[in-house]
Amino acid sequence: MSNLSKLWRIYSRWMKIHWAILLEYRGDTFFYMMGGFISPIVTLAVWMSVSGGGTIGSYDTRDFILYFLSIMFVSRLTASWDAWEIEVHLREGTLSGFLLRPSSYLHYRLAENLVYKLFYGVVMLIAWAIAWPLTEAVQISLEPLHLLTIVLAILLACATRYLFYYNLGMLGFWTTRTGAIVGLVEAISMFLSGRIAPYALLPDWVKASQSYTPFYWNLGFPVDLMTVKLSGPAVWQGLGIQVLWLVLFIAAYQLLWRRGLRKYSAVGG
Amino acid sequence: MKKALRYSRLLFLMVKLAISEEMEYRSNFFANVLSTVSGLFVSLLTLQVFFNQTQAIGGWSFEQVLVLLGIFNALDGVVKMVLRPNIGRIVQHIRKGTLDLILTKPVDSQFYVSFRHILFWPITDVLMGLGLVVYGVLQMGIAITVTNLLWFALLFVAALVTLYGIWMLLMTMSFWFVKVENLTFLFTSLFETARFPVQVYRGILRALLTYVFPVAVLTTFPAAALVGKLNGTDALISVSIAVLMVVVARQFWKMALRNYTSASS
Repeated sequence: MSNLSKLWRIYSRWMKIHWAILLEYRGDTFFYMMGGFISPIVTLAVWMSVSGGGTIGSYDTRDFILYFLSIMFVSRLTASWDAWEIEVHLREGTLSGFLLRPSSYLHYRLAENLVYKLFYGVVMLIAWAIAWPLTEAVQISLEPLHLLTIVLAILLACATRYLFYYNLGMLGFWTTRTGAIVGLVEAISMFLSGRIAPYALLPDWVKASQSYTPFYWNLGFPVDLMTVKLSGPAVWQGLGIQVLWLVLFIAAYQLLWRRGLRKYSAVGG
Repeated sequence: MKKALRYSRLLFLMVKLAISEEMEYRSNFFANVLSTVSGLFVSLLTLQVFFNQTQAIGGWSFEQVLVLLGIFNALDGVVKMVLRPNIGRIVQHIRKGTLDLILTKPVDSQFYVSFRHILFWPITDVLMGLGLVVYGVLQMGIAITVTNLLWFALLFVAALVTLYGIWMLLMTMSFWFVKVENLTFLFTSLFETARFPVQVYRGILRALLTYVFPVAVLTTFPAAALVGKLNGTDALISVSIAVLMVVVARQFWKMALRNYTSASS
């Protein structure tokens, strides 16, 4: 119990600090958020132009709009920028300062992520609620079990994608080329996560990738739940696969962090 | 005239300096080629997904969009070579007050902050982009007339000038907002809209992307000139926007300098 209350204190302090930073740089936070929305809008525009008001596969105009709105929603909530931040802390040696603190570096990073996610989440939910009476496209099913699976899938995607990038960032213990590696992963994920098109419209080899890469489960799967393209056992099976990936990335985190610290020698002074 | 000669000599020197600086980091060349190739690969796959469902997007065939994509990549290379490396620094110059040193140099300050730090390796993006343009044109199997080529050259220059104008305007904003890194992020995201012909976007969005954030001028019109889709209005819009952009950027820079009070230490 005392452990838990200690953790609570750590998080509430860190989150207060990060909240203050977010408010101080509110302009940047806003620009960053808007910037992230543009790419799904572009892709949506192309699909609308391609479909010309008709249907492609099982997707009509309303489906496309809901799909890419869900992509915006989920990808903003699951975004992780830790790989870049960790790279800077490693390169400039500022990680040392965090190692001296009584709480783990992970808590510091995670608290930052939580603050921004809570902020984005509230803003987007308000926007969604405002749009609700205006357009039919955003009216998703409000059946409790359906909503529960969506929330679960998004939370699992958040945690997995977060640790994925965190682990990539920790490769910085061994190489100075993390930037290039992350860039490559981003390019692959662009294609395999469902950002370009719903999985149903992608070539077969992309569909096959979902059985051995985490990309679909971190974005496409929660979105497919929101747009009700999956039902029955496929939903629970998907959640199970998400849990498997999460466990795998937690294990990788433990390993990389322990090995990495042994390798770490602070740079600079 | 003498002035123009002097400035082109200076520019030549800056490029030479950039090359000799980067010869020290030769492995960056391979890193760059790798990222260019993988980027191109992904965008080609993306196009393939769209064209699996349709014959044309926004009235453009696959080969025509390839030409446009080539132009996009070439421009992206220019951003990486010239615009991005300089913008990062202007923010620092203002924050740390080192802009003072530049202002006292016997050279136009806008010229200096725009071109002092050139990265050479992203030339691979420019070359591969232009290569894609040539490939697209060959695949179309149409005869390219000299007129088409001249129009393309003119509109490509207009695109470069417009791109520079937009970046310069963004850079100058750092006089008021000290942290503009996210403005560059916003630019990069908006620039993504230039991957597709502007005809893809409808209604108000198309107007915005033609006149306000003129991505149409950046890729659609030069590509249209080459594939023979250009009309007089588009050409006029292109040239006017390019001129307007560079004039506004110049005035904005001068205004910003008048308000600049240096960062005292």
